[in-house]
Amino acid sequence: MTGSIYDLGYRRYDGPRLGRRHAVASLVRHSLRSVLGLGRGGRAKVLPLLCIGMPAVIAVLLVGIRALAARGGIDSSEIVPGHEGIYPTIWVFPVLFVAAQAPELLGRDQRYKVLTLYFARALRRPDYALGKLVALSLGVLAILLVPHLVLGVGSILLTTDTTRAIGEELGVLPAVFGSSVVIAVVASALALAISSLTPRRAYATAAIFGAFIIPGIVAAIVIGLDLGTASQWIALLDVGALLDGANAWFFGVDPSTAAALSGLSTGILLGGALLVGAGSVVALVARYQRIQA
Amino acid sequence: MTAQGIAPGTDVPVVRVGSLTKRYGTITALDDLTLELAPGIVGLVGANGAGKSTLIKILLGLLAPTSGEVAVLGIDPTVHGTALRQFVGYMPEHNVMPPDVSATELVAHLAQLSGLPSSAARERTSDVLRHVGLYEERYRPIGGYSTGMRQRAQLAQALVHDPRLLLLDEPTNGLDPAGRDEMLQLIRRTGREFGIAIILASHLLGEIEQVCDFLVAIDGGRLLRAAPLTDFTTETGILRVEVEHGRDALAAALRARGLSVVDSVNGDVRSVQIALDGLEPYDAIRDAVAELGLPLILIEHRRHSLEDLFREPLAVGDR
Repeated sequence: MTGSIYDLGYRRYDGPRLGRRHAVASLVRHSLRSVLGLGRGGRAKVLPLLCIGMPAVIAVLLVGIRALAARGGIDSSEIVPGHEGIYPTIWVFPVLFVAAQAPELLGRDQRYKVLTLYFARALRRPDYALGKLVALSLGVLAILLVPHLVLGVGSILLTTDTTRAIGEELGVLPAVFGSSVVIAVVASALALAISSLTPRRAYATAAIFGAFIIPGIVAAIVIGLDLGTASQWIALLDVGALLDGANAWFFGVDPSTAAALSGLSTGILLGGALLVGAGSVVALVARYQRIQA
Repeated sequence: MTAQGIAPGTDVPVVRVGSLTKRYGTITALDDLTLELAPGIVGLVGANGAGKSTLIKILLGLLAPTSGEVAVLGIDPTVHGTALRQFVGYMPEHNVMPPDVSATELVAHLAQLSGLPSSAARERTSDVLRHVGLYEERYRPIGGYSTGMRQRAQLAQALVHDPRLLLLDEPTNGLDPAGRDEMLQLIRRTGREFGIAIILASHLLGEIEQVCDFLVAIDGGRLLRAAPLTDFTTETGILRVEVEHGRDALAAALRARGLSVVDSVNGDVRSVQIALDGLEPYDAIRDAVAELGLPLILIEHRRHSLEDLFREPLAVGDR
């Protein structure tokens, strides 16, 4: 280490000070880079690459199967999933992603008390929490939208009637964006709300997996026991079923998971998903209002 | 100049608080504090738990006062906290930096959160890290830094957005004596040569004496005194007469000659303290010492020391 302090001058700064909005935008950009593993070591890139890459690969395979089927003169639209089937097929990757990255996004700053430095700057406590939510949601959105894009481009390229295919793809855009945004924000908010409670990464990751998986198992068992119509409401505890239901609502199809098949309408499942999202955001912001820094 | 249209006033006190009170439940951390601070290096001194950190957090707008008024650079932190914090730098008491990023990365990121555009943030990060004496190591993860380097990086993040006011909470915490001197010298230069107003909270009086020109002493959340440092170290109205032995006999003899002998402080068994209240004491002292045949060591005007602030006031009485 250098033994003494050299002074080569200190310059004053008279340039612009861009205020709170700039501060929050910077936080979002920085956090997004960190959830995607950019500017970090190689190991930090493995999981984001896997979570974004695998769904894309799956989408490529779906397009390939369609192409093969089309060459054989078979209409594969009944068996090979379209846009509505993307989330039910790849749902494990968004869950994996938020379970790994949400604790990383919040835990470091709590563990090393960096929050003190953040809160001494041009942003407020809720800005910090919401900025992290936007960043994680954008990460999940990338996971969800890339396979939709692959599928869309594939569909357009495969068909002879390009104009019609483009029209169809444009028609499904609102459902693609609507479902993806809802799923991304709800999953991110829930994962962050859980992560905000502990600086310990391992606990938070386990708790997030638990929150996404265990209620689904319980719900499947309860519904399987066929205890009567009241038991169908247990599906509302299953976040996975809620997100699947929300996805189905946007595309106007039947939900795919067992719990979602409990008989609840997709509208109710979407409402449940939005409720979980809103509750998580409130819990997350409340936690950061109170957290010591 | 700022996005929010709130900018520090010119010709305003750096800090102005009026009847500031902060209670946590039944605990009163700050009690009716009224204070006005001009630019310069101000020492905020008090024992641990005196309310220093609470005051700093209120000045930053991170804590709301229970009652009272507060303005920093002419801005009310309870209303315009985010705008104000673009012009205030804060170095917390403890190490609060993540070990897995480099100083460059952390400081540049924090600069943007203080409102600097990204190009200016990068430029100033490299300037400021050089200013505090971090060179090649600034690209290495902070986890590998020595305590001294960490403290400098922590000072750099408080300076990177060129604040008008710098709040330093125990900045020499955990440093060895050499590192301590370097940090204090750096703080003094930052305040004197670059004209940044500094409030330096410390429980170490020696540190305060080395760098500050104004002193605010608080104890139990109350203002003890706020005055230029020189006021604290001026001569007192006390003459100290030290003898090798025979202190009590000398005290009695001096009382008999009509001088006001004062209770000695902290078990000083070798000297007599005399309040100077008009009488010329020197002849009487000479006579008394000669009469008793005592070995006289010194006669001096006692100076105030900062420690006096936190002691019971001297009982100046005719005893």
